[in-house]
Amino acid sequence: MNKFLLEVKNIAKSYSIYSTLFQIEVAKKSVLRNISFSLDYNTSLGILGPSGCGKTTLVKIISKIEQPDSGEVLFEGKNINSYSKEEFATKIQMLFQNPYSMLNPKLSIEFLLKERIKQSFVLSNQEVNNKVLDSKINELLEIAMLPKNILNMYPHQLSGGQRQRVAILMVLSLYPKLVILDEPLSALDISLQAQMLNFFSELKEQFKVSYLFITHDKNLAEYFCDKILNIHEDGKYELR
Amino acid sequence: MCIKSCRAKLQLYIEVKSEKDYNFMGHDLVLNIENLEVSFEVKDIPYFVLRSVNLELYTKQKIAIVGESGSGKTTLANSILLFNDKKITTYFGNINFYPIKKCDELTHQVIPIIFTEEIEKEDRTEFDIHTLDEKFMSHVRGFHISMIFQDPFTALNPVLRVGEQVGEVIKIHNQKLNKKEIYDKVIELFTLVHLPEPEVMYKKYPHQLSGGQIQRVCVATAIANRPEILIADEPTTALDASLKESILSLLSEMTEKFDTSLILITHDISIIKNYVDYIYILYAGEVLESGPTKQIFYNPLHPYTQFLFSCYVDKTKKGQKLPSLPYEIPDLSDQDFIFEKCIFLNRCQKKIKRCEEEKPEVYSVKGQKVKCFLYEK
Repeated sequence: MNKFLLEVKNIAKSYSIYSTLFQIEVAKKSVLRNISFSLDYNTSLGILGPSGCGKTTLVKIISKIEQPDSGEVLFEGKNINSYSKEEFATKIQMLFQNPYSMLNPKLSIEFLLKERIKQSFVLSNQEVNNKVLDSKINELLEIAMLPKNILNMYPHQLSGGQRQRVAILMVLSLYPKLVILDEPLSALDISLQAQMLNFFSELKEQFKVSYLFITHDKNLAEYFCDKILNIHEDGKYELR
Repeated sequence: MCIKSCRAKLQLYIEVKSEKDYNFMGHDLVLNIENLEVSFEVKDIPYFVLRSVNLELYTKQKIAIVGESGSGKTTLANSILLFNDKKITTYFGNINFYPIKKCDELTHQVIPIIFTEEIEKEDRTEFDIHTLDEKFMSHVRGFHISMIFQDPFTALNPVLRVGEQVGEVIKIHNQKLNKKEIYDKVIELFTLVHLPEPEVMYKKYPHQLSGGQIQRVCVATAIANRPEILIADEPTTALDASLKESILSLLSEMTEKFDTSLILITHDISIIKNYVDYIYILYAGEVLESGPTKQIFYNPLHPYTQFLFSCYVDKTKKGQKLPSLPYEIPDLSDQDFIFEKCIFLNRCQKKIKRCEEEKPEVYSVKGQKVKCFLYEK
């Protein structure tokens, strides 16, 4: 087993700014400047920083949505680009700020969860039948403390907290080792925020998941995370 | 012993300080909501969304209405401006508004030049907002009472320049102003709300601005006619956390500058501490506790308010499990429950048998008003 779960080495990224007319490149905006850090197994790292400092760009690079200009990302000692798409899906998953963006409004919760579970079985070359699917769904609902009647509902019929829980169940059904949480609590009520934080902590113990937790809230990061990566507007950063 | 005596001292300090600080009785009343009940009828089933809500707002006062999703915060704000769907809404109780700025009740036209003249104190009349017709209400909206909506991105027309949209609000209530005067007023407003390069901003379309800039344009629109009351419905929810403080301080600055009263609606009690004078805690359509901000923060009385504060996290709570209550807003069509029992019964951890048998009244405890049997004298 490798010492670190995730290693980010000298990542740099800049975006081109184009003129409105003729789309000519007029400038380059440097977002990330040689960022390096590592993440141990079963730990959570908070990423703090103002808007536009490159938090989302960093996690997009880690989750292979974007490629860096320079530097590399290692997951369990291997470069993330060496993993196949299917293999990578079981390694890193991302939970977005708005759970609506993960839930197809035309599909019922049961269908959405079943599809994900089927996918996880296919990825691990296991056979799946309806009985296994049902027991798996029941198990997941128990973890998230969700009632069974939500299976027949559609995303718009759920409360904000329920939607966020269904979204995280979809993420967990693939049993990833690292979950990236992009401002998962900012749209929730304070009582739901407390519930979700308890839920994330339980999952960390139960499934040995590691978290990359993007937030603006310093108090929240200090409560939930073992380490904090603070990115400043000028591209400098500190890890504590 | 030491902690106890410190706590007692702190308590005494809070009481004395809050009595000195909280002196809005000297100001004039601008809005007085008495026993407001709002119900929506959906598929022949009445939902009692707001029940016996009492609220007082004085000039220059800043109040906050705090509650979880579905507690009726936005319905309350919409009721003040009659924004609720008329076909399904029934109102009981009064929303009394005491206008300070002059206007002609019959012609709905503003008589003096706005921004300057006020009605003499003894000449002020009271309007029950629910008795006003739509024509008069359209005059009240934007001129006497303005509202800032939750999502700034949908509040502006995407095909009009932002400057024109603010100018339109000024033009509607000031027909005599010419184009140049309106342009100058918009530029003045943009400068006031700290928008960079106001002349450039005037010509921009909403999609060309950032979230914080759009919300500043919305604030400029709301204060354009210097209303007596400004309602901000979750003005920071759709924005980044780093922008929240700046928008709240802008609202606070604007209300102080123009002597406007502010009603701030939010679900996040932590961010309002330094910006409001008085807090109403709303739960499932009922005000469970109200009081001056400092008292609510240092001495929350109702179990629900105490629960809200206990949910906040910081590094001192690291490793501890946070308190959690089942997320259940009661069924607002269940009349036996909502009119006969304490509304917080299902989630309360301090409930007594009496809570299931009757509804608590509002008890006054050292300046705070609380709806809980625990504080019955």
